[in-house]
Parts: sequence; C-alpha cells; structure tokens
Amino acid sequence: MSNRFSRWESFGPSERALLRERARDLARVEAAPRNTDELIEVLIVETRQQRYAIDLAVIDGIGEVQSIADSPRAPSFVAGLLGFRGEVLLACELLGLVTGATTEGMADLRRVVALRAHKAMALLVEQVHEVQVLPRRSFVASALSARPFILGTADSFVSLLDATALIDHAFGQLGAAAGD
Amino acid sequence: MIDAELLGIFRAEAQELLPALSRVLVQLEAASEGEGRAALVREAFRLAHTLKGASSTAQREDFAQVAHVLEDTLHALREGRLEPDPTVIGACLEVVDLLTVGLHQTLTAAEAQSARARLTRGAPSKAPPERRSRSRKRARKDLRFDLLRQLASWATSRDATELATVQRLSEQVAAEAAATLPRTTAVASALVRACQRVAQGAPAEPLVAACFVAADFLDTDATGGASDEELAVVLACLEKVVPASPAAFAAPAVPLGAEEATVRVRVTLLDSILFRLEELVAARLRLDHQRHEVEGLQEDLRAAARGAAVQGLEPLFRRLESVRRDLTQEVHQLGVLAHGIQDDVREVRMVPVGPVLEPLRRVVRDLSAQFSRQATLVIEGSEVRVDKRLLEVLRDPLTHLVRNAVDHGIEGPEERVAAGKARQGTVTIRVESRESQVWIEVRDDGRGVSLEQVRTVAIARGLLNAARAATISERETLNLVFIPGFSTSASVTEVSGRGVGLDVVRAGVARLGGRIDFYSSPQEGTRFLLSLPLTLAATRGLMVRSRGKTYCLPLPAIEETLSVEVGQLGVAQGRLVLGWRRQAVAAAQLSDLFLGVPSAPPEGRVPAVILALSDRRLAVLVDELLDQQEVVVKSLAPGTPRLPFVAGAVSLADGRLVTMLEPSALLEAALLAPTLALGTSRRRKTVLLADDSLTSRTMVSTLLEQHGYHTLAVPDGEAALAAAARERVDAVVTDAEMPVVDGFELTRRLRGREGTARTPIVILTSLGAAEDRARGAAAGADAYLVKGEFSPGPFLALLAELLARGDQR
Repeated sequence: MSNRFSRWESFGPSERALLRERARDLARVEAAPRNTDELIEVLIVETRQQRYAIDLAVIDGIGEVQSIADSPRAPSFVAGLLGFRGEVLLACELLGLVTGATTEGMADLRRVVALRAHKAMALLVEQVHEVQVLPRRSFVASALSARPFILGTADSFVSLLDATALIDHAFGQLGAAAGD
Repeated sequence: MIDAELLGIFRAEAQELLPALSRVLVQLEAASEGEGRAALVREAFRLAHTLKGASSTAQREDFAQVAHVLEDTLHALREGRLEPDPTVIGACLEVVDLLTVGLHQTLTAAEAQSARARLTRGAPSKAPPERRSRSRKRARKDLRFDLLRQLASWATSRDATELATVQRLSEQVAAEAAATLPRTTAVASALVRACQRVAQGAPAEPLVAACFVAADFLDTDATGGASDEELAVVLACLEKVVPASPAAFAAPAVPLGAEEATVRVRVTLLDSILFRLEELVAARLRLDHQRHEVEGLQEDLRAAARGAAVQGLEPLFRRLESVRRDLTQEVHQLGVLAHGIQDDVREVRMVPVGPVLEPLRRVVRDLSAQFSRQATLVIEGSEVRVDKRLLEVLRDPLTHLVRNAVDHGIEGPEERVAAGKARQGTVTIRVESRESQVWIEVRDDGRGVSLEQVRTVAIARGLLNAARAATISERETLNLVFIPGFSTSASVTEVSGRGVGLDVVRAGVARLGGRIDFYSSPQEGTRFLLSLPLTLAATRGLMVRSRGKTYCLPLPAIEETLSVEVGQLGVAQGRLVLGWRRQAVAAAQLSDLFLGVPSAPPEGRVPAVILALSDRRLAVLVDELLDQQEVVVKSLAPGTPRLPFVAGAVSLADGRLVTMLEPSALLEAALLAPTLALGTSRRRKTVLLADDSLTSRTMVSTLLEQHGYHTLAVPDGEAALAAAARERVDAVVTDAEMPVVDGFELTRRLRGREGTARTPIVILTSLGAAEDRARGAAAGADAYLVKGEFSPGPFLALLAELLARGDQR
C-alpha cells in the first residue's frame, strides 16, 4: 500500500467521510463535457494529503507562520490572528473549514496563504505546491460541492476552492457565533 | 466629460468650506454691529465665492448656480442692503444645507429656484425701490467702467496686483449683473476663471487677447446690443486661457488659511504606512537576531580555534568582526529611522479638536430654535490635538450629549429667569490633555437631574426595587442613566428621550478604552466627563499570560495589579468576589471568561488585574503578569467580523503578534456568568421565550443559548403559562401580540403567581408606541424593548442585570 493511505487509521471521522466522498466521485458517471475552454491559473495546496486549488488571482501572498495571536471563544477552524504585510488577518485552518474537524495541535499547518477577494483572510495549510494552469472544465461538480466554497473536483482529486465563498462561509460562521 | 479627480478635489475642498461657512453664519447671527460683524460678513462672502469658483472649475454648474445665489445674498449683506437677522441667516443656512446635499448629487433647477426663493423671501433692502433701481444702475455702470479700465491697464502692465483687481472687479460685475444682465454675468464669470488660471501660472497672452473682446462685449451688453453669438465668441476666447499644467487646477483659488503648504492624506493610508513600519521594525528585530547569531559564531569559532594554529585564521576573525560591527551599526540606524518615521506618522494623525467640535454650534443653534430655547455653545481647549480616528468615533457620542443638554437640560428663557439664571443657557465643551489621556467635559447650566428623579424612574422601570434604592450609593444611582431604556424625560422627542443613547455612548467610549462619568445637581446643571487615550495608534499595554497564551490589556483600563492569595477570594450571591479597597469586586479567571465555564481553582497566590470602566470593576486572575510596553494596536483587516474579546492585535518588540483584549467584553462576560465560583458548579439560567413568530423565537433562542442560557421556547402566552407552572424559570422574554394569551396578559398572570411574582420579565415586541410601553409597565414588566431597535449586546446586558438583581432580592 502506498504511503498515501498509510495514515488512514489516524484520520478522524470527518476526514474519512471526506475520503469516501472522493471515492464516490471517482466512481461517478461521467458528466457531459463543459463547453468552456477557459484556463485558470491555480495554486495547489495540501492539508492532510488532500489537495485543493485556489485561483491565483485571489492570492495576496504566501508565507510561513511566524506567530499567531489567540482568538478566544472562536470556532474551532479559527487558528487565531496573524500579521501579514502589516495587516492583521483572521487565520483559518482549511481542513477545519472543509471537514469541521478540530485541528488543534496540528503543528504541520505552518504555511499561510493570504487570500484577498472582497475581504481578506489567511488560510493555513500544510504544504504549498506548484502553480498549475488547468482548464476550468476539469473541475466537475461533486458531492463535495455541497460545500458552498468548493466549485468542483478534478480527476486528480484536487478540489477547486471559491475564495470569496470560503471567506463568506468563515465570516458567516463567526457572525452567527457572535449573535450578530 | 467631468474629470473624476477634479470632482474629488472639489468635494474635499467643499467639505471644508461648507462647515466653515455654516460656522461663520452662526457667529454672524450672534454678532453685534461693528467691525467684528463686518469681518464675519466678508469671511462668509469669501467662502461662498470660493465655493462658487471651485464648483465652476469642477464643472458642477448646478452647484455653482446655487452657490452664486448665496454669494449674492452675502454680497447684499456686505453692502449693507440686508441685515443679518435670523430670517436671512436661517435662509442662508438652509442653502448651505442644500449645497451639502449637492456635493453628492446633482441639484435640480427646481432646487436652485427654491434656494433663490428662500433667500429673497421677504428680505427688505434699505433704500426705497426707485432709488434702489437708479443707484444700482449707476453702481453697475461705474463697476463696468472700472473693470474695463483695469482690463486695459493690466493688458499693458501684466502686473499681478492689477490682475487681482481685474478678478475682483469681474466678481463684482458678475454679482451685480446676475439679475438683469445674464450675458454680462457669464462673461464676467469667465473673466474671473481666466484671471484665476493666469494667477496660477497659465500663459497670459490668451487673456490679453480676450480682454479687448470682453471689454467690447461688456460695453455693448450694457446697452442691450449684445447677442448670444457674440457671447459665444467672447466665452470661447476666454476659455482659451488654460493652465500650463494640470496641477494648476488642483490649487484652490483662495488659500484656506493654512500658513504652510498642506496636503490631504487619507487616514487609512497613514494607517497602512504605520503598519508597514511595524513590519519594518519587526524585520529589524530579526536582523538584530542575526547579529547575535554572528556574535555567537565568533565566540564558537574562537573557542574551536583555541590551541590550534590560528595565524591563518586571524584575518578571517578580523573580517568577521568588521561584518559584526557594520551589521550592528546598520541595525541601529534602521531602528532609529523606523522609529523616527513612526513618530512622524503618529504625529500626522493628531489633529486639533476645534474643527470637529465647531459644527456642534450649529446643532445647538438649530435645537434652540426648534425648542424655543436660548442656548449657546462654548468650546474650551479647541487647540488640543487628538488622534483623528478617535475624533471621528467621538463625533456622534458628543453630538448626542450636546443634543441631550439642549433638549433635556436647558430650560426655556422664562423658566431660567424665574430661577434667577440668565435667559441664555450655556453648553460648554472643555477639552484637556494630560499625559496620554484626553479629558472631554460636556456640561450645561440647565435644570439638572436629581437623585430622587433617577431613583423614581429606575423603580418605575423595574431596574431597581425600593429596598435596593434605599441602599444604593449616589454614584451608582447616577450611573443608572447609562442603562438601556432609561430616561428621565417625560416625553420622547425626535431628538432624545427614548433612553437609547447614553448606553450606546458609554459602550462606544468603552470600546475606545475610555470611560464616562455623569454628574448632576438640580437647578445647577449636568456634566458628562469622558476620559480617553490621546491616541488610538499607540497606548501602553500590560502583557499577561493565561493557559500558556499571551494577551495584552490596555493600561488605561487597568486600575491596579496585585498578587492575590486564593484564600482572599470568596463567593457572594453566587459570584466570585475579591475584597479590594474595602469593597467586594467581581472576580474571574481569564480562562474562565473565555470558556464561559469554571475550571479548577488556582493554588497559592495568583496575579490579578483590576479592570475599571466607569463605576464597574473586575478582578481578572491570570497565570502570570509580564511586562508593560508601548504598543501599536492594529485593527483586523476591513470586513473581518468582530471576534469575542478581541479589540485588535499588537506587535511586541520581539516581533510576536499578541491579542489586545477588550476590557468591556471581559466585564460583560463576567456579568453574564455571575455564578463562576471557584469549585462550584453553575446551573444555567433558564429563560422562557414566548413568541408566535418562529423566526423571532429561533433568533433569540439561538442568541441566548450561545451565551450560556437554557431556553424554553413556546409559541403563545398560554403555552408559556403552562411551561412556567411546570418548570423553574429564571426569566421570561415575551412578545406582546400573540394568539390565545398575549404578552401583556401573560405578564399580569405571571405576576399574580407566587413562583413568578418577581421573575424578571422582558417584553420584546414590534409595538413601539408610548401607550404600549405604558401597558407593559402596568402589567408588571421589568423592561420593554422594541424589535426594530433590538441589539444583542444591550439585550444580553439588560437580561444579565435583571437576573443579577433577582439574585439579590
């Protein structure tokens, strides 16, 4: 068995559910091909061996986590506050947003992807891979697309994230928690 | 096409000129005849004239037309043909208001006509009609001759002083001819613009060429012989006078009184510079760390080389030492530069309070007229400099306090005279800065508020019972005015009296890290005293550690730090308290406040921080007190929702980012969790929620559950009665209009039962009329909130206060 699946036992229930969804996507009936030939430039990031693509246009920068300030009583996907080029951004863990799993103590999340769509937020991931140019049609709606910020999944198991929807989702959860 | 940048410049300029004009008009109305009044008239005319010119330059002809009408009136005042009585000044102020609206939208011809009508309505001139007409005609002719002569003189001499005279005369001709010779006005106005451009550096030759054409036209038009075609030719000639560079358009026609060159900078840009400087300082710290690494490397190398043949290594050691010295010097220099720039940028944010407070004179004037009072505003300390962002946040609270002073405080003239006071009341704003704090006092010499009044209202609204009222201190009594919904006003005006404002003022001041206190004496007046940090940019913070994490508390909110023996802590009425300075102060572990649940008690001695906001105190227990340092508080990126307990973040000297906590949020958390006692378990309070609207029930229920309450939600009053009979209920929140049994009937019946006779009851309804509130009070409700004005924070605070009072009964 490849190393890719050797950590199955260490995955929590929500992560296992995510993998099952991806397996169902692999077995899906091929959908009608999209008409668009639009190419998008995306950054591939990875957390817990799951890969995601983010449109390069909404990425303000990438960095290492230097220090994170605590945000008390925040939802579990909130890592805290971090400084990025002079600005204080809310830092959220991608895995926590996607699966709802708590990632406390995961020291692997040391890469920061600063997103700037209509608002700004920092996304914490384990690894940042390369930039790829992919046809948009390669990301097909799947079970994962039930999440408002996942636009589709490619055959390579890379899910395309909608940064605007991701930020709205995170901020919306915070607003609901604050009773706003 | 209108140049967008030019429009922006015009708006920025007009946003300074319009308030200044408003201020001068208010002063003019109060000024007595003499040189002082004449100077004010001249100033008002200058401002209106500048506005007109600026709007024309920005091609806002709609705006310019209305400004022109205003300028005409001020010109008439200047010439003595009008008196600056309340009618005329009031009309001028109305037109200023219209122009303020016109900054962001096109003014219609009807609005311009309306402005004209307002300004000319019933305003008499001094001379009888016939004489006015003849004298006006002669004055116009003389002016025209003067202009023609001056034009010719300037065309020969090209002298700057003569050009200024041409401009002035052109302005006068334009004003004089406005009513009867529109073509003359158009040409004269175009001459004014051309003179301005030449004065700003445009080539003079086109104006010289146009002068003679213009002079000839003016002469012809005076006899009625000029045509529209000729007008077009003249205007085209004058429009050929263009600035040498676009920068000429940016300069205002008349300097705004600055003694040195200034430039407007967005505060957000200053913030951005400041924050990037913080990063620079952090980079310098990392560089300094590298320098230490080099020093360590030197020592290690020397240690390793000891005993070995070092002759060949000596030059390397010398080079390394040279690198270390250079690095030390560069790091030091970088630090000096960065801190120097930081200080300069922070200084730029400091502005005098005067310009922000001046518009309040207009507020006092308008309210006085509205309520038939006579009141004036006195401002002391207008030169004190305060962080601009602080002033912007304070603008609304100060406006509210001033409105309250006029509406509630200042008596009518007859009442004042009967009380032995001057007819005119005074509202005073005094600003003072001491060390890193600014003190702002808003006081009036009106009727004041008695302690008895406050107690009576508090009891009537269920905020206080008679027994507690007998024991409450004077300070605590006065501070009841800050409770949401409290108002001593017998009536609600559109200005005040709803009791909605002072709690918002206090919350706003608290969020700025300040405090507000209220003082009053019957017949002598009322005084609000605000104390705030001088700048939001930098403050001193105390670093504390709790459960392994570091936080920053703003020093202005800290009354004392001390070491507390766990045995000094007690439990009173389900609340953890600390005996401090002969009073029992609420206490809580910082981590407990965050979690909302009690944890294992600490052992031995624990550090404590006494937080103080107005009259409220809280002893916050932490694991460790670290150091104090000056910090720059950074807000979260725009659009980020508010986070619980988070006021912002600060960068420490070592480059780490630390959360700045909001003291008011900590105090609220302690209030909402009054039974956080060491080693005791806490029963969640149960709130019975009755509302026939599923949406309302869900929203309120979710809010309460998130803040630690257990809720019983029912759709009507009958179900609520059944639930209250079945289970222990600590508080009731009910709608008014419900099927079967409405909220008023529910309240009455609950009050009639022994088990719920004293249960706090809040009516939360969309019915906002005074008679509905009276029904609620008569039924026995403790508070009456209107859904349209609902806000989670004040609602939760009110509920917690009512529950706490219930515990004390």
